[in-house]
Amino acid sequence: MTWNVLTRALRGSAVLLCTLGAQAAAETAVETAASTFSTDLCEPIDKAAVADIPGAVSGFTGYASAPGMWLTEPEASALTGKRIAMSVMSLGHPYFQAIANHWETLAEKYDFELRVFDGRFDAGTVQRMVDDIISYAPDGVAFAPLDSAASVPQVKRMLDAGLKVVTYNVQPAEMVAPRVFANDFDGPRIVGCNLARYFQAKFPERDPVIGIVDQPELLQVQDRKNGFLYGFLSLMPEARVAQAVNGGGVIDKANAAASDLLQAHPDINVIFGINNDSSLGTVAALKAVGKYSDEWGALASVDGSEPIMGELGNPVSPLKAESGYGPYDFSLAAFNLLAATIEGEADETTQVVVGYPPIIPTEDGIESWLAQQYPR
Amino acid sequence: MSDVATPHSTAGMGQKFLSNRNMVLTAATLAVLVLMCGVFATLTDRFLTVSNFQNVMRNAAPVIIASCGMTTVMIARGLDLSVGSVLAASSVIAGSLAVAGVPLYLAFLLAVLFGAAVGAVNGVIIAGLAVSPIIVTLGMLNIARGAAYLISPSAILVGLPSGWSFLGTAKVLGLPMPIVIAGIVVAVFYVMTSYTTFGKRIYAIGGNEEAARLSGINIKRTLLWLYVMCGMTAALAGVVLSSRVGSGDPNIGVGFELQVIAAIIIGGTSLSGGEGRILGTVIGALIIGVLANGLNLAGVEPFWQFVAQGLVLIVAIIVDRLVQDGVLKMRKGA
Repeated sequence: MTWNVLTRALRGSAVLLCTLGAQAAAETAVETAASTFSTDLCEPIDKAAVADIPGAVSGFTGYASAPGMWLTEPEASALTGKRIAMSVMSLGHPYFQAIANHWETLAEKYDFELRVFDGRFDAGTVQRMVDDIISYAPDGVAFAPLDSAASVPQVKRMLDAGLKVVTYNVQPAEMVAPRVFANDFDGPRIVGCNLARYFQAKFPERDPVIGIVDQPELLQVQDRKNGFLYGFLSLMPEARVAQAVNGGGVIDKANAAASDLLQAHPDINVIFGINNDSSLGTVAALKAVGKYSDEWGALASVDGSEPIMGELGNPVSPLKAESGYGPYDFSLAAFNLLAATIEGEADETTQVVVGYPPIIPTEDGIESWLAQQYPR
Repeated sequence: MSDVATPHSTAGMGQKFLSNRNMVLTAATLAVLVLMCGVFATLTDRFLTVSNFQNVMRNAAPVIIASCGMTTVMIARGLDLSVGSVLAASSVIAGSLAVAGVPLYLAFLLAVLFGAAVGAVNGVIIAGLAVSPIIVTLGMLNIARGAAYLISPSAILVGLPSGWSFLGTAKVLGLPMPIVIAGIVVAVFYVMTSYTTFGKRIYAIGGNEEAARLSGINIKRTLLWLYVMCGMTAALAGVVLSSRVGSGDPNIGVGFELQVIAAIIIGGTSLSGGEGRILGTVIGALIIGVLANGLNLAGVEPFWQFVAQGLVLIVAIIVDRLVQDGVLKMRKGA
């Protein structure tokens, strides 16, 4: 009897200790990510390690510009009473859905007529959409190019039709109109720096082996990938890049590609997903092979949409570094820039570079990001 | 001594063997798959492992499930281009219902029934009004995708219950659930097409619709059921895929219909109807899956993968057709 009680007590204590230990370990992982978090770019400790990484291959310029006043909601706007056309790459994407929502809020607040045009991620649709926008004859256009090169004649056509145009997100290959864009190299570079800091602190005894869930046909995405690698290898030059697989930027294809990546390189312990869908596909792949744990390694991505925030705040998730690609910031900057363009205060040389703010993996950090960028 | 083969008895056996044309053609498609596996096994030691076999099967399962329904439609000289969008819509329907607190089994069931309803609409218009299946299902492709976005406008659903991933990640006797589900669907469709009167009607309609009509087959009703089953399998594939990726997402399944059609054609189903086999389709889906997996494991650059995938698919079709022609000639000779 006494022996049974003692055994039960010992078992209970062991379970309690394991639970507490697991909780402590989980808390440590989140705390480690928070304590190693920084908004600063890291510089390479061994320049040879990053020498072969291409710079900004998408040809974007003017990264040094800061958004400054463009990210302030004005008391009054030149858009009031005007008819405005705003295009999105695809309303099926949460980022552009959020952009459309922010613009609708702005239209209500500043009292202007808004028509949203959906490019459906399709070059032919965007081409036809430009004609529709010209027919609509708005006072101003906030245009989301699908492709840097193809957008140049599209913007020129709208300008030739006498429309006031600004572009946002993907930057046209030529300076044809005022534009809002982000630094697709340095934003993910900060993610790389933060993930390397976390990895060093969490797994001091391990050598990092990197896999990328990529979308190689998009230059903007290549900047993201190269920026991440530059940041990570700056602090951990001994890291080995095992392979980049094509996840297509969507969750189902990314899941299959990440599964193959994990099969091909079981030693991979760092993965960068080029967007949130790619990372969520990777999360599912890790779960399928029983590797989903903060003890497996480290995962990072960029975008900062709501589903990935759930992973960032999850103590057992390996996702421990994320930079936001803010729909509110893009909306407000494009809104202000379009007003300035209508008032003749901006021309084709005007550019606004909004940030890729790294999101601190704490409850407050995640909540404040979502509250501003993805309000419910 | 009676089992000693004589030239005469060998010819008889050969004739009997050749009479089972489907078996030979399936074997030819299987040979292409085995050849591909052999090539990848020599390129990387990561290919021929149990975990990678499960990985390939798990990834191929949604295509296999949806292809079964589509194969019967194509045998009957039809086509359903809406399967990718039905897959996406069923994904967000199941997800939305689950988030709303509907029990998971009911959410999954309702999503599959949604697929059946979409298939019924396709079938009624195609069979009842004699409209081209390409036009009808192309329209349905847009409607179903639009419905998916309307149901879940901010894309990926969050807040799904913990059991959501069961169909995609659980194991039965060591086998991942998607493989088990695909196996059950394959078995059902194999029996249906091979051993039932309904199956014979499908081939009859695809081979010669007028003759089938004259022989008393209710063409409209048969086609209606085929499109209903096609919608159901597409929706089931959506449920399995969503469960695997852990989310309901209106963006999944873009281009899925092309994978399904490719698997079916590689598997030997004729675009002009009247011919086709479920096992061939399964092998076709595995060829596509093995190709994508093997190229990734071999570390082939993504852009070269596009080229390699296109080339291998064309070669697979040519080999299949050569074997088919050879079989036909041998039959005529025999």
